[in-house]
Amino acid sequence: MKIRLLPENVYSLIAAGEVIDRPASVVRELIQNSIDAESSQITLALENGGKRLISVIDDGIGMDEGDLKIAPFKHSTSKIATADDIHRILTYGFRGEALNSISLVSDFEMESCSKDESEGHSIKIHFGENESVEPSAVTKGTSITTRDIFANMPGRLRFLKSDNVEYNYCEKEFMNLAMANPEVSFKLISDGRVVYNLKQGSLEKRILEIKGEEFLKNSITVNYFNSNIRVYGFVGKPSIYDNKRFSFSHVFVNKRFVIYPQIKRAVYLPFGSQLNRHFTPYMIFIEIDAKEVDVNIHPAKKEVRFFREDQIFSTVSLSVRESMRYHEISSENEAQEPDNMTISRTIDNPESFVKDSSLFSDLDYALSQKHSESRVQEYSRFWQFNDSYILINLKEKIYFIDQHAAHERIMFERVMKENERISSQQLLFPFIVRLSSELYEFYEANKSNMEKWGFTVREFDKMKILVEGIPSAITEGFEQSDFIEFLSEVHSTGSSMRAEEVSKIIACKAAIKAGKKLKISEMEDLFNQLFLCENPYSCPHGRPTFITFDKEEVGRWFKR
Amino acid sequence: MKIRVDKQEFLKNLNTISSIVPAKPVVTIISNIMIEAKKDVLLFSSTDFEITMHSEMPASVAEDGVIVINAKTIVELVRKLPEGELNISLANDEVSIKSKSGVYKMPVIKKDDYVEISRIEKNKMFNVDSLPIKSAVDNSVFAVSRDAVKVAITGVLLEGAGKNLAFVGTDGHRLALYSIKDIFEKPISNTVIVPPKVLTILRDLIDEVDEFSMGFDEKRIMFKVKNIEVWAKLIEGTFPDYKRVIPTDNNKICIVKKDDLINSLNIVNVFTNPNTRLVKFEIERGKLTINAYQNQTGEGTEYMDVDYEDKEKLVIGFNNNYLLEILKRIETENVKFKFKGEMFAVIIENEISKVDQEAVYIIMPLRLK
Repeated sequence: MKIRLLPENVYSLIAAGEVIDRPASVVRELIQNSIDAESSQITLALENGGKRLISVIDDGIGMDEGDLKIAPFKHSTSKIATADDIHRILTYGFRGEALNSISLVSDFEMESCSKDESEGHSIKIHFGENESVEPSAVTKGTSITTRDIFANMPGRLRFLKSDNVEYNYCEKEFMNLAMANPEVSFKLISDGRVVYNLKQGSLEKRILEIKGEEFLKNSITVNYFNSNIRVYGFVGKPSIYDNKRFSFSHVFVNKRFVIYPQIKRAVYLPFGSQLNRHFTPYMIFIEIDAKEVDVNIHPAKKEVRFFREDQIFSTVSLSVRESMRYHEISSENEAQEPDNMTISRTIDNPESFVKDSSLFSDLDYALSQKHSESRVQEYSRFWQFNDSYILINLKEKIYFIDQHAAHERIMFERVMKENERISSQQLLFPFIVRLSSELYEFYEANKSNMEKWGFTVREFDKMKILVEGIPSAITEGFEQSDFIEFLSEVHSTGSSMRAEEVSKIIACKAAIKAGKKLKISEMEDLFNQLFLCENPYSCPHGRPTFITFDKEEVGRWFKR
Repeated sequence: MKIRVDKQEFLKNLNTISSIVPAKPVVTIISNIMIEAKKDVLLFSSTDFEITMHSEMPASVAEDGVIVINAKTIVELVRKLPEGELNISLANDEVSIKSKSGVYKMPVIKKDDYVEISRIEKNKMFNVDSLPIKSAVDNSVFAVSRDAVKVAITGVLLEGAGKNLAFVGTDGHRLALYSIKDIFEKPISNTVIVPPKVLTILRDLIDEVDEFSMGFDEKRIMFKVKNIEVWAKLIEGTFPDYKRVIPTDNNKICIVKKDDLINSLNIVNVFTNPNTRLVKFEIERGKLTINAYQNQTGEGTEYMDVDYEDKEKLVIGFNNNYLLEILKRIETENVKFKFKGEMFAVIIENEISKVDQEAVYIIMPLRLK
């Protein structure tokens, strides 16, 4: 066998496949170009998840006729001119491969008009075959349309997934760029329907639109500058507790979305042991001199290498710690204290004991008030601690009841008794929920189950549904975010979706939350209901609902 | 400060003013009240930051002055003192109270350390009758959401339009709308959301008076009842567009004896599922059947004669608690239901409305299996 040099066209096609591996790569490359072209409005249109059509329209600086002719050719770029420039890359694209690669694997059409030109031009390339350059009606910016991607590469084509899956990849790329560039308006249209219409604004506003109010409410803002590194973004508070919805960890370096899981350690360090399941979502933007970072490791530019990695780590950690201090969350691992230090510190606070001795005069005062509610307190054996736990002395034991877990158990057993279907309370003010494409898919597959679970829902628009009724067991505020949470939790239980699992989730949503002040009568009711349950000892997830101390045990505390 | 007051009158004012003082405030300074003596008048002030209250009483003032004192201590003390005159004086940051039987001394707080309390501008107020307002509070507060997730609906919407005033309370499952005609002398146009606590305080204060004055601006609601002034912060937020959800084409009318209906609902309540409180109504010409069923408890059915002319049988489910809460508000002997269909909002009304006041209740059904 002889070793041959590959013909140029074969070699190019292989290289093209390296940059462009699925419709999402086209989306990424084209939007990046649009951002580099100083656009203020970028519209992405997809058909069949990008397999049939991807179109990106911007209002950027555009190209004149001469540029247009050479732009789709190999290693043509406006972004660097000499080998030296490659060490100072601030624009997204620079390798000069993208347009070339895209034009080799699709039916490609590019229209553009530069600011200095009176009329625009268009160029058509049919799977690498240059067809023509013609005058075009476009008056501003650039518009690129690619159709039937990989039609000339059956091997690649076969590896593409369903329209929905490909759409999800495209949406992810779109979102990553939209998050990093809040000063640009972004619009995403899929199969003729507007999915996102993000107006230009602050980073906070953009994140609000993409990640929702709940994430912002439950996160701390990071903003820090140290040794020529700027770090900003959002980190979830330890209290944010969600398994599916907030499971992201985004890192952007000079506005470029990168895969850099190493940073996790630096973000989590200040939280120490406070993190639930050692996880909290974050979104960290790092800005650093282009000379200090190498983005040219990977053709898709998804990986980076820092020349001062230690410095990056310590700056990120410092920025999170600083922000926690600002938000009055106690940070750990500062001076490598042992974990139990924080706990002992709160218990050893003598002041809190002194205050408690005034309990009785407080009660006396409450009695002097004419509110009938406080009068009940006189006869009550129930106390609430931290608005989360109920204390009661019964015979020779003290019961500590976790109000949420206990109520969850009660609700669970009741919901289970509702037989095959859960009844649905219709809402006076129905609300619209926008679902991620993944959840929407799940919803579509389970439309028939929604009624069974006690919801009344209707499709409203692409990716949006109208919730008109909720399980009647849920009496307290149930909003968009709760619905999404419900759906993602059911989704994450896997394919089985047994009635029991769904009942657990509904019970959890319907149960009294920790932190809610209860009336004496409510505590009494909860207590009585709990012990009517078949299994009062644990909540449906297996946590204990109550613990008890008997007099021997209390006696031991006092070394009797 | 040097004053002489009647114990009974002094205690009455202390009680009123301390009713809003929180038992265990986060900022301890507001567990105090302020008493100001000026030209034969005592002015009492207190606040919990959300609500601020003033009251006035005549007194013989020998020397002007201000004391800021722990509400709990002074109320407790004065309550126990014998009837008659009290002599109160202030010297060296210590207040001394002299009764028939003894002398009591308490430290006071510097006036500057207390919260700055502004009084209300009375020119923005207008006089209103208290009777319709009492009804409006009673018939709207009950429907308010007790849950803090949607802040706007944790309050009652007060909507002044022309000379009319409407109270709206809702929790998203039911809604109460109480409209009063011609309550204002001059037309106004203002919409505010008022915390239920404030309305409850107002309700107590106006219980025995015929009229009082009230007013509101963008941030506050104010009212003055005899010698007591209150102003309170409003709830900020957007109240849902309630007019949109009030049905206009509910043509199936059913008239039921209210007390009988309440009785029947109480009976079948035994068999409702405690989670849902689902009761099922089956309505056909002249007849209403109410049914509740729960797996292990059993089943209950009640039959009633009603006034219902529609040819089609209607089957609709409700949360019994919501239904009973609304029925308690019905003032006429008969209650009027207006239906459209099993999945549509239902109107519940007094059979005959008063001339100048109207109560409308909306309840959303439970979907039946």
